[in-house]
Amino acid sequence: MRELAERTLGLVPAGVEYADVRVVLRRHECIHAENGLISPLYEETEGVAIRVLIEGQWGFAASAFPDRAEAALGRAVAQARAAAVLGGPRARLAPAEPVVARYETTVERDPFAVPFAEKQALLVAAAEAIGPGLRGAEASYDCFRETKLFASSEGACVEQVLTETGAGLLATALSADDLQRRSYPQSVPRSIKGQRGDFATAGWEHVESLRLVEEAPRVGEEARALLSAPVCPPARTTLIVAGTQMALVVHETFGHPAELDRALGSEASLAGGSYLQPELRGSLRVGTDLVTITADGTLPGGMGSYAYDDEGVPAQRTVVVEDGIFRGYLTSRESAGALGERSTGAARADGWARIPLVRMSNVSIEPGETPYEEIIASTKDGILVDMNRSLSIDDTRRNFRFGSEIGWEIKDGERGRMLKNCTFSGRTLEFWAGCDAVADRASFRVYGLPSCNKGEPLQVAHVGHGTVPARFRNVQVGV
Amino acid sequence: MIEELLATSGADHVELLQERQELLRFGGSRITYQHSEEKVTLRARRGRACVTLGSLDAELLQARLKDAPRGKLEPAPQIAPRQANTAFAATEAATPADRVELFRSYVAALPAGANLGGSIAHTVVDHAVASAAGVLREERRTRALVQLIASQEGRSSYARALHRDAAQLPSLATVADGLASLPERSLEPGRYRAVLGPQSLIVFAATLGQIAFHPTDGAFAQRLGERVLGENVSLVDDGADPDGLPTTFDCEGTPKQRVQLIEHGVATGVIRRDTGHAAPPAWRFGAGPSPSHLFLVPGKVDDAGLVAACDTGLAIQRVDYVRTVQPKQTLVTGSSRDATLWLERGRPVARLPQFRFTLRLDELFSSLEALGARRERGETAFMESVVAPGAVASAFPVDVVTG
Repeated sequence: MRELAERTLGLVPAGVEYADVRVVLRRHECIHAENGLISPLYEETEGVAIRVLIEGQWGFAASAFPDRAEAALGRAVAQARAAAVLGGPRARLAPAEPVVARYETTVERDPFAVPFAEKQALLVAAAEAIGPGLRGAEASYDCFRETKLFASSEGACVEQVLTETGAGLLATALSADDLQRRSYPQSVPRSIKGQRGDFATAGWEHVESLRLVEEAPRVGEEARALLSAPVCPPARTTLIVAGTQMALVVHETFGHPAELDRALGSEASLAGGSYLQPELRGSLRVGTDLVTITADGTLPGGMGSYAYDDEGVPAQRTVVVEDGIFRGYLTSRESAGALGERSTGAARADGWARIPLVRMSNVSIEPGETPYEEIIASTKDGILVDMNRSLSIDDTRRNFRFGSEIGWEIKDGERGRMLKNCTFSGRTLEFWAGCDAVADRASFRVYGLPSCNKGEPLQVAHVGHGTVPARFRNVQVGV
Repeated sequence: MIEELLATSGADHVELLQERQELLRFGGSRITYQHSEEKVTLRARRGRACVTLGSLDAELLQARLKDAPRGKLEPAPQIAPRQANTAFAATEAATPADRVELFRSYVAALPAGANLGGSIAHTVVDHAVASAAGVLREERRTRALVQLIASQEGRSSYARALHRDAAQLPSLATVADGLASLPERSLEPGRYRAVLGPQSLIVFAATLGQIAFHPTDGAFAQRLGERVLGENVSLVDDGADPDGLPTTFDCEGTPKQRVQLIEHGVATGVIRRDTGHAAPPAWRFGAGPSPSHLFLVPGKVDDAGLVAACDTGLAIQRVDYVRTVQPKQTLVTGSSRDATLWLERGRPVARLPQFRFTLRLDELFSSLEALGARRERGETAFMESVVAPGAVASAFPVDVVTG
């Protein structure tokens, strides 16, 4: 990889202000068990990407054929020169120290080396343990390994090997007029292979820690029970958002808005903009003083953890919201440069064929002071929701609607009957202004979501979210 | 090449996509980045095992599949793909300079002070499929796409053009219409008459397609023969219709059949693997067959006639982030985006704030009083092309106004 990168950089013609080369090899293994059937999937792709800046205009080209790197460089240069003819505003990169480094995810047991039979046995046992009477009883495991090298014309050279492992359960209950799903330990809006369950930058030990077989009977039972559970009644009430659901709430209401490229308008044509505008930093109240949100690429085990981003900038911890006040952004070198600041190390690309964009690392709600049990016990009347089932949010992230897989009534401080089709909606700032309790560190857990979509062509990022349950007053729930 | 890969890999089935994609993206009337990509996707299946490589490495393919038991080979379909023109020289030949010039012309056509965001993309895909049962298909497809979002002083307007032939992309001059200077008007939650622009109806039709026509789990799968939508609504899936983005076979090489899904509001069909609607293994949008080329049959009313027929209510140019809440009920939620206007006595008089809606698609498609004669072409991440006209809905819900 290094030789290819250096050779390609050596071919960069005069007039190029900046160039970088990424060489990426990505492997993905998935095993899916359903109703006694095993479906193994293996994916492998390798390629080279070249980015050049000429007169402040970008060119980018990528190829699956390493021997065509020179031709790709030619295409990138042709693009940048064509754009330079128009003139116009120039991209300015924030300064960055050229780093030479190597990093590898710490793995106790290499998931690719675990015998297939062992993986298969675990998944078959877990799927069977979900139990009978369901449309589907599925267990799946995925691991990703990305070996990548970044080199720039400024002298940076960073090699990283990132290993991500995850697994999950999905029980689907079907009746003539209803379909209910229950997932464990984390869900995504669609049942997609490669994106199911909970992920970490870790090895097979993460799969074992999830205790799939032990949790499976509860998952199956809840899916069956949901078919006959009452529908969440429409009301304005107190809402307790459990940690699994909170991951998506934080992702959508703080994570995306804190991406500086969105705030500056360069994503407005597709993903959208942001209510967090630069002039509001330090003054905009986005929640009660219980609300602190961080973006931390160094969080141990987080799926959004890495040592360097895809511009060679070190991963770091950024405070997005402090005591309810908007403080900071996730940034790349270009977006940070537009504000005259330094990058927060959040430029990441989806594989070799995509340009780095500002992406979330591990965006987390920091724990509060209240034990989770006390939050429940001190709630007279409300709804507890768990596990995201659907979501929709507007392009500037100012209003949302989430649906949860499961909910329960809270009456006089105790969890009551199960509810299905629980949804909650509202305006972002009003919602977080109603946050009156955030659970303490005993409930803190980092969830890994390999399913964050952004960009054009579409890029899917792997991100993490540290969450705790929290309580919100006066929230609209129900369809 | 595809036959050789099939023979050397020992796979039951091999699919090869060789793709070249070029894109120019812009925001704030400046080019934000450009993209050029050449990639290979080689998918092979043997029994239940699937391997996807980003290379033509037959040895790696063979090594990865060797322990998998061979699957039951289904006989190759006896019908031939229908003829369609799927590739055009103008799209294949487009250069970075062509895209920059297109971008410059779109910016120049805007009113002074307006900003432009969006993208211009040209794609060429060579798709080949071969199976041990004797399937052998090859096809080149091209695709040209322009998306524009014009904005000015808080107003925005959207337009999209899509065609296999870059030389036949429709004009996007109407994007400036949505920037007309109109006063702002507040909006209360409730139900309103509405003109749905073609791009908004494209999204609703695609979402309905995704959840309603799966052969076993689709919302309409068990309701064939029943009236499920309004009598004026007919919906077809047809991969060979040149009004869409023609594609003659699916990822398994099965020829795409024309399937009448809805006829005058009655559920008449579902899509299946044998109708040419298989989804690739590990597809991001779920397992099982999925519609690929939807067409909402047009009505007879011109654009001005739709606005006149609505008289007073909403004019919704585009909807965004429409997601399924409850698939069996076809319940979805989403938000308005870009030029959403208030109509009075058949003409736009005010600009509306963004709002969220939650609705049942079967109810929406039962409330269409008039369908437009002019259709637009669109696509989604999960559907190759969707073609729909505008329409007048008698009661469109507004849940939460963002303000």
